[in-house]
Amino acid sequence: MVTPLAAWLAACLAAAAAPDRALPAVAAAPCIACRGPALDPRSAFSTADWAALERGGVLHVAPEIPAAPADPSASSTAAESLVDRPPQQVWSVLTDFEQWPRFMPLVRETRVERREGPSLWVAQKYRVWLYPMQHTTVYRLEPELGRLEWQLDPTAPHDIAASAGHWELLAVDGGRATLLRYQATVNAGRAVPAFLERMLRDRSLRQMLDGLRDEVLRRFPR
Amino acid sequence: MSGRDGFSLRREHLLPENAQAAIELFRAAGLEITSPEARAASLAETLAGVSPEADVWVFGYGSLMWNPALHHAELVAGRVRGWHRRFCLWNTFGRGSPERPGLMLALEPGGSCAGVGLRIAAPDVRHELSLLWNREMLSGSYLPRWLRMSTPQGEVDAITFLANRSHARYAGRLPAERVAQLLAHARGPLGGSREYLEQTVAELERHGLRDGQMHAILRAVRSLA
Repeated sequence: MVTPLAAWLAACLAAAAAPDRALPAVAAAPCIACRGPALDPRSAFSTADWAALERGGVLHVAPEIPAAPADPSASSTAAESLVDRPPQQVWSVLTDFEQWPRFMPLVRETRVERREGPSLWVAQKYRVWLYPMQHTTVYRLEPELGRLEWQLDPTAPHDIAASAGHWELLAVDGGRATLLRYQATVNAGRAVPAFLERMLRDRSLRQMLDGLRDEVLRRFPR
Repeated sequence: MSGRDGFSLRREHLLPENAQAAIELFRAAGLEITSPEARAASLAETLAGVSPEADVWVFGYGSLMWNPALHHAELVAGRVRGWHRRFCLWNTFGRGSPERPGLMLALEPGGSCAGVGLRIAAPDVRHELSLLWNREMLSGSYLPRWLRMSTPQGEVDAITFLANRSHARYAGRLPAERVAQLLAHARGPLGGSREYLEQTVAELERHGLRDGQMHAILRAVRSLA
């Protein structure tokens, strides 16, 4: 039998976990990734790279860094993968933040806390091996460029020193498919052996791109 | 950068005392010019963290390949992964005009790009790069960035210039046919855009490199001539 106290507690927990419907909506874009470059795989990619992408591979690419890294504890990584669906479909999954725990590795809980113009504050809990961690990320949505930028909110509790980067969606073959680009610069804020950091980064990078692609294919079957 | 009228960009043109000529070209085309202070700040930011004893690599994918106009200790074939060259910047001041606009190359995300790596020796870095900034950063249509470049000797970090997609000169997506038409007919005080393309493809071939899109556009431009 459910007591009134238990029911009240359950209702409170459910309300806390549910998306905040009172948040103002992010302005709808007339198109997704329509102002960014469109890629012709036959010209922009080498034959070998394109074949690897079509096989579901992840290409490690050159991160875009404004200045030579002065902070040796921060490291950047970038990768590309191919999703055989249009940018609109990929964007709808990528920006479905509160569903991220379903398909993003390490992420255990996400909650959109605030919206201001094109920016969203998303509280995230995740687990790196056995260690629970949390921080709040500020995402900036630029749907027409197919770009989702983020940086860690330093004013909210955070277990890593810094994190910034972006997702970028590029229309391939006239929008038949999407090249998914990811770049991150992270400063863990603590001494992490280089091999461990590299292993963790490469593995989670692969899992993240695979997870997002698989979720898009699951939601939008052909 | 050699035009039919004989003009050839040389390093002397990039010296601060001579940069006024280029600035006048930009102004005549109605473009805003970055201040010398802003260019110096941009260069300083790009070089933040670079040791004064360190050589610096520059990745060239357009005219820098065939006319570096910089003192360099070494030039090798290089490739950056994750970026491709594209005619995506309007040129209405050098190899084009407001009436007959041309296009310039810039790096855009996705794919890969073959070009050349220029190694600037440590003692020359600040001066040579200040000339490079006078060449590439006058209008702010490029973003200087460090990218990892593959060379026959291994991987190095190199400075290069990406398209600034928020700049007024950014042309965005243009169909290949339209690019070919523009390049075929564009002409300005420095010559034609077609020569820029011809020289770029020739230099790629000289290094045994291929860029399918550039070769295809050149064929289309020649067919329009």
